[in-house]
Amino acid sequence: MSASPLSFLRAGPPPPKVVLLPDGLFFSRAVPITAGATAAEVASQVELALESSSPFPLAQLYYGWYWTPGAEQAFVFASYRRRFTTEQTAAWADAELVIPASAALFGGAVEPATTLLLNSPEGLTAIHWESPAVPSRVVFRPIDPEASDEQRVQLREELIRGLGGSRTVIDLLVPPAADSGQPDREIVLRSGDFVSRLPVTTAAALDVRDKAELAARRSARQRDIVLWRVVLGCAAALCLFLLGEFALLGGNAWHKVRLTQLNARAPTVDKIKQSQELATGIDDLLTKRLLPIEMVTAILGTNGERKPADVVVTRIQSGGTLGLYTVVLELQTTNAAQVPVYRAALQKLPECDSVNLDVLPSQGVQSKYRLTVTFKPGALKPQPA
Amino acid sequence: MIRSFRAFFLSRALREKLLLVGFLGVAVVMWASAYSSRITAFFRAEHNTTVALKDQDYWLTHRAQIESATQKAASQMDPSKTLDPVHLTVVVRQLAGDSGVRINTGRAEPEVSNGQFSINRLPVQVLNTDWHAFAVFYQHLQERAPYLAITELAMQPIPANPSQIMATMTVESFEIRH
Repeated sequence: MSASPLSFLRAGPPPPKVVLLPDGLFFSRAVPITAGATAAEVASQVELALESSSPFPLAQLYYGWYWTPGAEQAFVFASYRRRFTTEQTAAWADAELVIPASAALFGGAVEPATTLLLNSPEGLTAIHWESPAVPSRVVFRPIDPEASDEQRVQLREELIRGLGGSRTVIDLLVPPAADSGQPDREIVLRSGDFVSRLPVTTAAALDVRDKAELAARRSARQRDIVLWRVVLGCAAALCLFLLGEFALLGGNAWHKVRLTQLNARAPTVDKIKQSQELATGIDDLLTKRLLPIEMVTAILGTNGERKPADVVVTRIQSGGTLGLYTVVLELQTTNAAQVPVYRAALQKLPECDSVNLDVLPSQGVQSKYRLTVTFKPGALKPQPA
Repeated sequence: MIRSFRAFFLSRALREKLLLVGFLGVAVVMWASAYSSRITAFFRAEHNTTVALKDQDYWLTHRAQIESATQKAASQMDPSKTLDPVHLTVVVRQLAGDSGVRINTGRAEPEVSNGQFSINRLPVQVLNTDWHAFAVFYQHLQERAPYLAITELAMQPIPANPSQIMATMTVESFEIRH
Protein backbone atom coordinates (compact mmCIF):
# COMPACT_ATOMS: atom_id res chain seq x y z
CA MET A 1 0.00 0.00 0.00
CA SER A 2 1.42 3.38 -1.00
CA ALA A 3 2.08 6.08 1.59
CA SER A 4 -0.51 8.83 1.92
CA PRO A 5 0.32 12.34 0.62
CA LEU A 6 0.32 13.57 4.22
CA SER A 7 2.97 11.08 5.25
CA PHE A 8 4.97 12.14 2.19
CA LEU A 9 4.82 15.74 3.43
CA ARG A 10 5.53 14.81 7.06
CA ALA A 11 8.53 12.69 6.13
CA GLY A 12 10.29 15.71 4.67
CA PRO A 13 12.59 15.64 1.67
CA PRO A 14 14.51 12.40 1.12
CA PRO A 15 18.26 12.49 1.83
CA PRO A 16 20.45 13.28 -1.16
CA LYS A 17 21.57 10.20 -3.04
CA VAL A 18 25.26 9.70 -2.32
CA VAL A 19 27.15 6.87 -4.02
CA LEU A 20 30.06 5.66 -1.89
CA LEU A 21 32.80 3.92 -3.84
CA PRO A 22 35.22 1.36 -2.35
CA ASP A 23 38.33 3.09 -0.97
CA GLY A 24 40.46 0.28 -2.30
CA LEU A 25 39.94 1.50 -5.88
CA PHE A 26 41.51 4.92 -5.23
CA PHE A 27 45.02 6.11 -4.65
CA SER A 28 45.24 9.20 -2.50
CA ARG A 29 47.71 11.75 -1.20
CA ALA A 30 47.93 15.23 0.27
CA VAL A 31 49.25 17.90 -2.09
CA PRO A 32 50.54 21.32 -0.96
CA ILE A 33 48.51 24.37 -1.96
CA THR A 34 49.89 27.90 -2.17
CA ALA A 35 48.70 30.18 0.62
CA GLY A 36 45.75 32.37 -0.23
CA ALA A 37 44.76 30.31 -3.29
CA THR A 38 41.22 30.53 -4.60
CA ALA A 39 39.04 27.48 -5.32
CA ALA A 40 39.82 27.75 -9.05
CA GLU A 41 43.55 27.96 -8.34
CA VAL A 42 43.28 24.95 -6.01
CA ALA A 43 41.61 22.99 -8.83
CA SER A 44 44.40 23.74 -11.28
CA GLN A 45 47.10 22.97 -8.68
CA VAL A 46 45.41 19.68 -7.82
CA GLU A 47 45.11 18.70 -11.48
CA LEU A 48 48.72 19.60 -12.08
CA ALA A 49 49.79 17.47 -9.10
CA LEU A 50 47.69 14.55 -10.37
CA GLU A 51 49.11 14.80 -13.88
CA SER A 52 52.65 14.65 -12.49
CA SER A 53 52.04 11.80 -10.06
CA SER A 54 49.54 9.63 -11.95
CA PRO A 55 50.58 7.06 -14.54
CA PHE A 56 47.35 7.90 -16.47
CA PRO A 57 46.30 11.16 -18.09
CA LEU A 58 43.61 13.15 -16.25
CA ALA A 59 41.02 12.32 -18.90
CA GLN A 60 41.29 8.66 -17.90
CA LEU A 61 40.86 9.28 -14.19
CA TYR A 62 37.96 9.71 -11.88
CA TYR A 63 39.32 12.12 -9.30
CA GLY A 64 38.36 14.56 -6.62
CA TRP A 65 39.89 16.49 -3.77
CA TYR A 66 39.14 17.84 -0.37
CA TRP A 67 40.19 21.36 0.49
CA THR A 68 38.81 23.93 2.89
CA PRO A 69 39.38 27.66 2.32
CA GLY A 70 42.65 28.77 3.93
CA ALA A 71 44.13 25.25 4.16
CA GLU A 72 47.67 24.87 2.81
CA GLN A 73 47.13 21.35 1.55
CA ALA A 74 44.44 19.48 -0.32
CA PHE A 75 43.75 15.80 -0.07
CA VAL A 76 43.53 14.29 -3.54
CA PHE A 77 42.15 10.90 -4.59
CA ALA A 78 41.89 9.37 -8.02
CA SER A 79 41.11 6.11 -9.75
CA TYR A 80 41.63 4.74 -13.23
CA ARG A 81 38.30 4.96 -15.03
CA ARG A 82 38.41 1.42 -16.36
CA ARG A 83 38.20 0.08 -12.85
CA PHE A 84 34.50 0.91 -12.99
CA THR A 85 32.09 -0.92 -15.25
CA THR A 86 29.57 0.88 -17.48
CA GLU A 87 26.76 -0.50 -15.30
CA GLN A 88 28.39 1.02 -12.23
CA THR A 89 28.84 4.45 -13.80
CA ALA A 90 25.28 4.36 -15.21
CA ALA A 91 24.03 4.10 -11.63
CA TRP A 92 25.72 7.42 -10.84
CA ALA A 93 23.48 9.39 -13.21
CA ASP A 94 20.86 10.41 -10.66
CA ALA A 95 23.27 10.63 -7.71
CA GLU A 96 23.88 13.89 -5.92
CA LEU A 97 27.41 12.94 -5.03
CA VAL A 98 29.81 10.14 -6.06
CA ILE A 99 32.79 9.85 -3.71
CA PRO A 100 35.03 7.26 -2.08
CA ALA A 101 33.55 6.03 1.22
CA SER A 102 36.38 7.60 3.21
CA ALA A 103 35.79 11.05 1.61
CA ALA A 104 32.30 11.05 3.13
CA LEU A 105 33.95 11.49 6.54
CA PHE A 106 36.39 14.28 5.65
CA GLY A 107 33.98 16.96 6.92
CA GLY A 108 33.92 15.64 10.48
CA ALA A 109 35.01 17.79 13.40
CA VAL A 110 38.21 16.15 14.68
CA GLU A 111 41.09 17.05 16.92
CA PRO A 112 44.69 17.07 15.55
CA ALA A 113 46.34 13.62 15.41
CA THR A 114 43.04 11.80 15.08
CA THR A 115 42.63 8.52 13.23
CA LEU A 116 39.28 7.31 12.03
CA LEU A 117 38.86 3.61 11.32
CA LEU A 118 36.04 2.74 8.97
CA ASN A 119 35.10 -0.92 8.87
CA SER A 120 33.57 -2.32 5.71
CA PRO A 121 33.06 -5.88 4.41
CA GLU A 122 35.91 -5.33 1.94
CA GLY A 123 38.43 -4.04 4.43
CA LEU A 124 39.51 -1.43 6.88
CA THR A 125 40.08 2.23 5.94
CA ALA A 126 42.10 4.50 8.17
CA ILE A 127 41.79 8.27 7.81
CA HIS A 128 44.38 10.26 9.66
CA TRP A 129 44.40 13.97 10.43
CA GLU A 130 47.61 15.67 11.50
CA SER A 131 45.77 18.98 11.59
CA PRO A 132 41.97 19.25 11.77
CA ALA A 133 41.44 21.10 8.44
CA VAL A 134 42.37 18.46 5.87
CA PRO A 135 43.21 14.75 6.29
CA SER A 136 46.84 13.89 5.72
CA ARG A 137 46.57 10.17 4.86
CA VAL A 138 44.01 7.57 3.93
CA VAL A 139 45.08 3.96 4.02
CA PHE A 140 43.00 0.95 2.99
CA ARG A 141 43.72 -2.61 3.93
CA PRO A 142 41.58 -5.41 2.48
CA ILE A 143 40.36 -8.08 4.88
CA ASP A 144 39.56 -11.63 4.00
CA PRO A 145 35.84 -12.13 4.70
CA GLU A 146 36.75 -15.27 6.63
CA ALA A 147 39.36 -13.51 8.78
CA SER A 148 39.05 -14.04 12.53
CA ASP A 149 38.50 -11.26 15.07
CA GLU A 150 42.09 -11.60 16.22
CA GLN A 151 43.34 -11.05 12.67
CA ARG A 152 41.11 -7.98 12.38
CA VAL A 153 42.43 -6.55 15.67
CA GLN A 154 45.98 -7.20 14.55
CA LEU A 155 45.36 -5.42 11.23
CA ARG A 156 43.82 -2.48 13.08
CA GLU A 157 46.87 -2.16 15.35
CA GLU A 158 49.21 -2.33 12.38
CA LEU A 159 47.32 0.41 10.62
CA ILE A 160 47.38 2.73 13.64
CA ARG A 161 51.03 2.03 14.20
CA GLY A 162 51.77 2.63 10.51
CA LEU A 163 50.10 6.04 10.53
CA GLY A 164 51.93 7.00 13.72
CA GLY A 165 51.20 9.76 16.21
CA SER A 166 47.49 9.07 16.71
CA ARG A 167 46.22 10.59 19.94
CA THR A 168 42.58 9.81 19.22
CA VAL A 169 41.27 6.75 17.42
CA ILE A 170 37.63 6.48 16.45
CA ASP A 171 36.19 3.20 15.19
CA LEU A 172 33.24 3.43 12.86
CA LEU A 173 31.36 0.18 12.38
CA VAL A 174 28.64 1.33 9.99
CA PRO A 175 29.19 2.89 6.58
CA PRO A 176 28.42 6.60 6.26
CA ALA A 177 24.89 7.48 5.15
CA ALA A 178 23.50 10.77 3.91
CA ASP A 179 21.14 12.70 6.15
CA SER A 180 18.27 14.86 4.87
CA GLY A 181 19.61 18.21 5.90
CA GLN A 182 19.66 21.28 3.69
CA PRO A 183 21.11 19.93 0.45
CA ASP A 184 21.41 23.44 -0.98
CA ARG A 185 23.98 24.41 1.64
CA GLU A 186 25.65 21.23 2.82
CA ILE A 187 25.50 17.48 2.63
CA VAL A 188 25.47 15.77 6.00
CA LEU A 189 26.73 12.22 6.34
CA ARG A 190 26.60 10.12 9.49
CA SER A 191 28.37 7.00 10.57
CA GLY A 192 27.15 6.10 14.01
CA ASP A 193 27.63 9.19 16.15
CA PHE A 194 30.23 10.64 13.85
CA VAL A 195 28.86 13.48 11.72
CA SER A 196 30.55 14.84 8.63
CA ARG A 197 29.32 18.13 7.15
CA LEU A 198 30.37 18.86 3.60
CA PRO A 199 29.51 22.32 2.28
CA VAL A 200 28.18 22.12 -1.31
CA THR A 201 31.24 23.81 -2.81
CA THR A 202 33.54 21.36 -1.00
CA ALA A 203 31.30 18.42 -1.92
CA ALA A 204 31.39 19.49 -5.58
CA ALA A 205 35.19 19.17 -5.57
CA LEU A 206 34.95 15.76 -3.88
CA ASP A 207 32.75 14.34 -6.65
CA VAL A 208 34.88 12.03 -8.79
CA ARG A 209 32.71 12.12 -11.91
CA ASP A 210 33.79 13.74 -15.18
CA LYS A 211 34.25 17.46 -14.52
CA ALA A 212 32.53 18.60 -17.73
CA GLU A 213 29.57 16.38 -16.89
CA LEU A 214 29.49 17.87 -13.39
CA ALA A 215 29.51 21.40 -14.83
CA ALA A 216 26.53 20.47 -17.05
CA ARG A 217 24.74 19.02 -14.00
CA ARG A 218 25.37 22.23 -12.05
CA SER A 219 23.93 24.39 -14.82
CA ALA A 220 20.92 22.04 -15.11
CA ARG A 221 20.51 22.35 -11.37
CA GLN A 222 20.60 26.15 -11.63
CA ARG A 223 17.93 25.99 -14.34
CA ASP A 224 15.79 23.70 -12.17
CA ILE A 225 16.14 26.08 -9.23
CA VAL A 226 14.93 28.93 -11.44
CA LEU A 227 11.97 26.79 -12.57
CA TRP A 228 11.23 25.95 -8.93
CA ARG A 229 11.24 29.65 -8.05
CA VAL A 230 8.83 30.30 -10.93
CA VAL A 231 6.60 27.52 -9.58
CA LEU A 232 6.81 29.06 -6.11
CA GLY A 233 5.97 32.50 -7.54
CA CYS A 234 2.98 31.09 -9.44
CA ALA A 235 1.80 29.21 -6.35
CA ALA A 236 2.14 32.38 -4.26
CA ALA A 237 0.18 34.32 -6.89
CA LEU A 238 -2.56 31.66 -6.89
CA CYS A 239 -2.71 31.78 -3.09
CA LEU A 240 -3.00 35.57 -3.29
CA PHE A 241 -5.80 35.25 -5.82
CA LEU A 242 -7.57 32.78 -3.55
CA LEU A 243 -7.28 35.25 -0.68
CA GLY A 244 -8.47 37.95 -3.05
CA GLU A 245 -11.51 35.83 -3.97
CA PHE A 246 -12.41 35.51 -0.30
CA ALA A 247 -11.92 39.24 0.11
CA LEU A 248 -14.13 39.82 -2.92
CA LEU A 249 -16.79 37.52 -1.45
CA GLY A 250 -16.68 39.54 1.76
CA GLY A 251 -16.74 42.77 -0.22
CA ASN A 252 -19.77 41.63 -2.21
CA ALA A 253 -21.61 40.70 0.98
CA TRP A 254 -20.83 44.14 2.38
CA HIS A 255 -21.90 45.72 -0.92
CA LYS A 256 -25.23 43.87 -0.72
CA VAL A 257 -25.82 45.34 2.71
CA ARG A 258 -25.14 48.80 1.36
CA LEU A 259 -27.43 48.21 -1.63
CA THR A 260 -30.20 47.09 0.73
CA GLN A 261 -29.69 50.28 2.70
CA LEU A 262 -29.72 52.32 -0.53
CA ASN A 263 -32.94 50.68 -1.73
CA ALA A 264 -34.62 51.03 1.66
CA ARG A 265 -33.88 54.76 1.73
CA ALA A 266 -34.78 55.38 -1.92
CA PRO A 267 -38.56 55.98 -1.49
CA THR A 268 -37.96 58.48 1.32
CA VAL A 269 -35.26 60.25 -0.66
CA ASP A 270 -37.52 60.35 -3.74
CA LYS A 271 -40.20 62.07 -1.67
CA ILE A 272 -37.69 64.62 -0.41
CA LYS A 273 -36.51 65.27 -3.97
CA GLN A 274 -40.11 65.74 -5.06
CA SER A 275 -40.62 68.18 -2.21
CA GLN A 276 -37.56 70.06 -3.38
CA GLU A 277 -38.87 70.12 -6.95
CA LEU A 278 -42.23 71.32 -5.67
CA ALA A 279 -40.61 74.07 -3.65
CA THR A 280 -38.64 75.16 -6.70
CA GLY A 281 -41.73 74.84 -8.92
CA ILE A 282 -43.92 76.87 -6.56
CA ASP A 283 -41.16 79.44 -6.23
CA ASP A 284 -40.91 79.67 -10.01
CA LEU A 285 -44.68 80.05 -10.31
CA LEU A 286 -44.63 82.83 -7.73
CA THR A 287 -41.56 84.75 -8.75
CA LYS A 288 -40.53 83.76 -12.26
CA ARG A 289 -42.74 83.65 -15.29
CA LEU A 290 -42.11 82.72 -18.86
CA LEU A 291 -42.98 85.82 -20.92
CA PRO A 292 -42.74 84.59 -24.52
CA ILE A 293 -44.95 87.21 -26.14
CA GLU A 294 -43.17 90.00 -24.24
CA MET A 295 -39.80 88.65 -25.45
CA VAL A 296 -41.02 88.38 -29.05
CA THR A 297 -42.44 91.93 -28.84
CA ALA A 298 -39.10 93.22 -27.57
CA ILE A 299 -37.33 91.55 -30.51
CA LEU A 300 -39.78 92.50 -33.25
CA GLY A 301 -41.09 95.79 -31.87
CA THR A 302 -44.70 96.46 -30.82
CA ASN A 303 -45.77 96.80 -34.46
CA GLY A 304 -42.87 94.89 -35.98
CA GLU A 305 -40.88 98.07 -36.53
CA ARG A 306 -37.55 96.65 -35.30
CA LYS A 307 -37.54 93.76 -37.74
CA PRO A 308 -36.36 94.50 -41.30
CA ALA A 309 -39.25 94.17 -43.72
CA ASP A 310 -37.48 91.54 -45.84
CA VAL A 311 -37.01 89.26 -42.86
CA VAL A 312 -39.84 86.79 -42.14
CA VAL A 313 -40.22 84.91 -38.83
CA THR A 314 -41.04 81.28 -39.56
CA ARG A 315 -41.01 79.85 -36.04
CA ILE A 316 -40.73 81.00 -32.45
CA GLN A 317 -39.80 78.78 -29.52
CA SER A 318 -39.41 79.54 -25.82
CA GLY A 319 -39.51 77.88 -22.41
CA GLY A 320 -38.78 74.24 -21.61
CA THR A 321 -35.11 73.46 -21.86
CA LEU A 322 -34.35 76.96 -23.16
CA GLY A 323 -35.13 78.43 -19.75
CA LEU A 324 -37.30 81.36 -18.80
CA TYR A 325 -35.28 84.10 -20.46
CA THR A 326 -34.38 82.73 -23.88
CA VAL A 327 -36.35 82.75 -27.10
CA VAL A 328 -35.35 81.19 -30.42
CA LEU A 329 -36.59 82.66 -33.70
CA GLU A 330 -36.14 81.02 -37.05
CA LEU A 331 -35.80 83.65 -39.74
CA GLN A 332 -36.00 83.56 -43.50
CA THR A 333 -34.99 86.32 -45.92
CA THR A 334 -34.02 87.01 -49.50
CA ASN A 335 -31.83 89.87 -48.30
CA ALA A 336 -29.16 88.16 -46.23
CA ALA A 337 -27.23 91.38 -45.58
CA GLN A 338 -30.00 92.68 -43.33
CA VAL A 339 -29.79 89.86 -40.80
CA PRO A 340 -26.39 90.79 -39.25
CA VAL A 341 -27.57 94.41 -39.09
CA TYR A 342 -30.71 93.25 -37.29
CA ARG A 343 -28.63 91.20 -34.91
CA ALA A 344 -26.40 94.18 -34.15
CA ALA A 345 -29.47 96.28 -33.44
CA LEU A 346 -30.80 93.65 -31.01
CA GLN A 347 -27.48 93.49 -29.20
CA LYS A 348 -27.83 97.18 -28.41
CA LEU A 349 -31.17 96.66 -26.62
CA PRO A 350 -30.65 97.22 -22.88
CA GLU A 351 -32.83 94.25 -21.91
CA CYS A 352 -30.84 91.78 -24.08
CA ASP A 353 -28.11 89.75 -22.43
CA SER A 354 -26.85 87.92 -25.54
CA VAL A 355 -27.81 87.47 -29.19
CA ASN A 356 -26.55 84.51 -31.22
CA LEU A 357 -27.07 84.00 -34.93
CA ASP A 358 -26.68 80.61 -36.61
CA VAL A 359 -26.95 79.98 -40.33
CA LEU A 360 -29.30 77.12 -41.24
CA PRO A 361 -29.22 75.02 -44.43
CA SER A 362 -30.90 77.12 -47.15
CA GLN A 363 -32.37 76.52 -50.59
CA GLY A 364 -32.58 78.86 -53.56
CA VAL A 365 -32.60 82.60 -52.89
CA GLN A 366 -34.00 82.17 -49.36
CA SER A 367 -31.46 82.26 -46.51
CA LYS A 368 -32.43 80.76 -43.18
CA TYR A 369 -31.11 81.69 -39.74
CA ARG A 370 -31.65 80.79 -36.15
CA LEU A 371 -31.63 83.79 -33.82
CA THR A 372 -31.22 82.98 -30.13
CA VAL A 373 -31.86 85.90 -27.81
CA THR A 374 -31.38 85.73 -24.07
CA PHE A 375 -32.83 88.49 -21.90
CA LYS A 376 -31.56 89.73 -18.58
CA PRO A 377 -33.64 88.28 -15.70
CA GLY A 378 -36.28 90.78 -14.61
CA ALA A 379 -35.67 93.06 -17.60
CA LEU A 380 -39.11 92.35 -19.10
CA LYS A 381 -42.42 92.96 -17.36
CA PRO A 382 -45.74 91.26 -18.17
CA GLN A 383 -47.82 93.21 -20.67
CA PRO A 384 -50.64 95.16 -19.02
CA ALA A 385 -54.13 93.86 -19.65
CA MET B 1 6.50 20.86 3.59
CA ILE B 2 7.89 23.19 0.96
CA ARG B 3 11.19 21.33 1.14
CA SER B 4 9.33 18.09 0.40
CA PHE B 5 7.63 19.67 -2.59
CA ARG B 6 10.91 21.16 -3.70
CA ALA B 7 12.68 17.82 -3.56
CA PHE B 8 9.76 16.21 -5.40
CA PHE B 9 9.81 18.92 -8.09
CA LEU B 10 13.57 18.79 -8.56
CA SER B 11 13.46 15.01 -8.90
CA ARG B 12 11.03 15.22 -11.87
CA ALA B 13 12.08 15.08 -15.51
CA LEU B 14 12.62 18.39 -17.28
CA ARG B 15 9.49 18.04 -19.43
CA GLU B 16 7.40 17.47 -16.30
CA LYS B 17 8.89 20.56 -14.68
CA LEU B 18 8.20 22.63 -17.80
CA LEU B 19 4.65 21.27 -18.00
CA LEU B 20 3.98 22.17 -14.39
CA VAL B 21 5.44 25.65 -14.85
CA GLY B 22 3.34 26.06 -18.02
CA PHE B 23 0.11 24.93 -16.36
CA LEU B 24 0.69 27.14 -13.34
CA GLY B 25 1.61 30.10 -15.57
CA VAL B 26 -1.57 29.70 -17.63
CA ALA B 27 -3.63 29.33 -14.46
CA VAL B 28 -2.10 32.50 -13.02
CA VAL B 29 -2.73 34.48 -16.22
CA MET B 30 -6.33 33.25 -16.54
CA TRP B 31 -7.15 33.83 -12.91
CA ALA B 32 -5.46 37.23 -12.93
CA SER B 33 -7.45 38.28 -15.97
CA ALA B 34 -10.78 37.07 -14.56
CA TYR B 35 -10.04 38.46 -11.12
CA SER B 36 -9.01 41.87 -12.40
CA SER B 37 -12.31 42.11 -14.34
CA ARG B 38 -14.32 41.18 -11.28
CA ILE B 39 -12.40 43.45 -8.92
CA THR B 40 -12.75 46.35 -11.35
CA ALA B 41 -16.51 45.76 -11.60
CA PHE B 42 -16.72 45.53 -7.82
CA PHE B 43 -14.90 48.80 -7.25
CA ARG B 44 -16.98 50.54 -9.92
CA ALA B 45 -20.22 49.32 -8.34
CA GLU B 46 -18.89 50.18 -4.91
CA HIS B 47 -17.97 53.69 -6.04
CA ASN B 48 -21.42 54.21 -7.58
CA THR B 49 -23.12 52.98 -4.41
CA THR B 50 -20.96 55.25 -2.27
CA VAL B 51 -21.86 58.23 -4.43
CA ALA B 52 -25.56 57.32 -4.33
CA LEU B 53 -25.47 56.87 -0.55
CA LYS B 54 -23.74 60.22 -0.11
CA ASP B 55 -26.41 61.81 -2.30
CA GLN B 56 -29.08 60.17 -0.15
CA ASP B 57 -27.30 61.40 2.98
CA TYR B 58 -27.43 64.93 1.60
CA TRP B 59 -31.17 64.75 0.95
CA LEU B 60 -31.93 63.08 4.27
CA THR B 61 -29.83 65.65 6.14
CA HIS B 62 -31.73 68.49 4.48
CA ARG B 63 -35.12 66.80 4.72
CA ALA B 64 -36.58 69.08 7.39
CA GLN B 65 -35.26 72.17 5.64
CA ILE B 66 -36.71 71.14 2.25
CA GLU B 67 -40.10 70.15 3.66
CA SER B 68 -40.25 73.39 5.55
CA ALA B 69 -39.37 75.33 2.36
CA THR B 70 -42.09 73.47 0.46
CA GLN B 71 -44.68 74.22 3.15
CA LYS B 72 -43.57 77.84 3.24
CA ALA B 73 -43.80 78.17 -0.55
CA ALA B 74 -47.22 76.47 -0.64
CA SER B 75 -48.53 78.69 2.15
CA GLN B 76 -48.20 81.65 -0.21
CA MET B 77 -50.86 80.10 -2.44
CA ASP B 78 -54.60 80.37 -1.85
CA PRO B 79 -55.81 76.73 -1.74
CA SER B 80 -59.20 77.71 -3.14
CA LYS B 81 -57.59 79.06 -6.32
CA THR B 82 -55.34 76.10 -7.02
CA LEU B 83 -56.31 73.77 -9.88
CA ASP B 84 -56.31 70.02 -10.08
CA PRO B 85 -55.83 68.36 -13.51
CA VAL B 86 -59.55 68.40 -14.28
CA HIS B 87 -60.01 72.03 -13.31
CA LEU B 88 -56.86 72.98 -15.18
CA THR B 89 -58.30 71.56 -18.40
CA VAL B 90 -61.70 73.18 -17.78
CA VAL B 91 -60.23 76.59 -17.04
CA VAL B 92 -57.85 76.59 -20.03
CA ARG B 93 -60.62 75.53 -22.41
CA GLN B 94 -62.92 78.20 -20.95
CA LEU B 95 -60.28 80.94 -21.36
CA ALA B 96 -59.66 79.82 -24.95
CA GLY B 97 -63.39 79.90 -25.68
CA ASP B 98 -63.66 83.39 -24.14
CA SER B 99 -60.78 84.56 -26.38
CA GLY B 100 -62.17 83.04 -29.56
CA VAL B 101 -59.31 80.58 -29.87
CA ARG B 102 -59.81 76.95 -30.87
CA ILE B 103 -57.61 74.57 -28.97
CA ASN B 104 -56.96 70.89 -28.50
CA THR B 105 -55.85 69.80 -25.07
CA GLY B 106 -53.96 66.69 -24.10
CA ARG B 107 -54.27 64.80 -20.85
CA ALA B 108 -53.52 66.86 -17.77
CA GLU B 109 -51.20 64.99 -15.40
CA PRO B 110 -49.25 65.76 -12.27
CA GLU B 111 -45.67 66.57 -13.19
CA VAL B 112 -44.43 66.57 -9.61
CA SER B 113 -46.36 65.49 -6.55
CA ASN B 114 -45.69 64.66 -2.94
CA GLY B 115 -49.24 63.62 -2.22
CA GLN B 116 -50.20 66.91 -0.63
CA PHE B 117 -48.98 69.28 -3.31
CA SER B 118 -48.84 68.78 -7.07
CA ILE B 119 -47.78 70.68 -10.12
CA ASN B 120 -50.05 69.62 -13.00
CA ARG B 121 -49.13 69.86 -16.63
CA LEU B 122 -51.44 70.27 -19.62
CA PRO B 123 -50.30 70.17 -23.27
CA VAL B 124 -52.30 72.60 -25.43
CA GLN B 125 -52.41 72.91 -29.20
CA VAL B 126 -53.72 76.18 -30.58
CA LEU B 127 -55.35 75.63 -33.97
CA ASN B 128 -55.23 78.18 -36.75
CA THR B 129 -56.05 81.49 -35.14
CA ASP B 130 -55.31 85.13 -35.76
CA TRP B 131 -52.66 86.91 -33.74
CA HIS B 132 -55.06 89.19 -31.86
CA ALA B 133 -57.19 86.31 -30.51
CA PHE B 134 -54.09 84.44 -29.49
CA ALA B 135 -52.75 87.52 -27.68
CA VAL B 136 -56.02 87.78 -25.74
CA PHE B 137 -55.84 84.10 -24.80
CA TYR B 138 -52.25 84.58 -23.72
CA GLN B 139 -53.26 87.61 -21.66
CA HIS B 140 -56.05 85.67 -19.93
CA LEU B 141 -53.67 82.88 -19.06
CA GLN B 142 -51.13 85.32 -17.65
CA GLU B 143 -53.81 86.94 -15.50
CA ARG B 144 -54.32 83.63 -13.72
CA ALA B 145 -50.68 83.56 -12.58
CA PRO B 146 -49.31 82.15 -10.34
CA TYR B 147 -52.05 79.48 -10.30
CA LEU B 148 -51.59 78.99 -14.05
CA ALA B 149 -48.35 79.41 -15.94
CA ILE B 150 -47.15 78.90 -19.50
CA THR B 151 -43.92 76.93 -19.30
CA GLU B 152 -43.33 76.23 -22.99
CA LEU B 153 -44.50 77.95 -26.16
CA ALA B 154 -43.71 77.33 -29.82
CA MET B 155 -45.59 79.10 -32.60
CA GLN B 156 -45.37 79.63 -36.30
CA PRO B 157 -47.40 81.33 -39.01
CA ILE B 158 -49.63 79.24 -41.27
CA PRO B 159 -47.74 79.16 -44.60
CA ALA B 160 -50.95 79.40 -46.63
CA ASN B 161 -52.30 82.25 -44.50
CA PRO B 162 -49.53 84.19 -42.76
CA SER B 163 -52.02 86.33 -40.81
CA GLN B 164 -52.87 83.25 -38.76
CA ILE B 165 -50.66 81.25 -36.47
CA MET B 166 -50.64 77.83 -34.91
CA ALA B 167 -48.98 77.16 -31.57
CA THR B 168 -48.23 74.44 -29.05
CA MET B 169 -47.81 75.26 -25.41
CA THR B 170 -47.60 73.67 -22.00
CA VAL B 171 -49.68 75.14 -19.20
CA GLU B 172 -49.00 74.23 -15.58
CA SER B 173 -51.08 74.65 -12.48
CA PHE B 174 -50.38 74.29 -8.79
CA GLU B 175 -52.66 72.14 -6.66
CA ILE B 176 -53.06 71.79 -2.94
CA ARG B 177 -54.99 68.69 -1.97
CA HIS B 178 -57.22 68.97 1.03
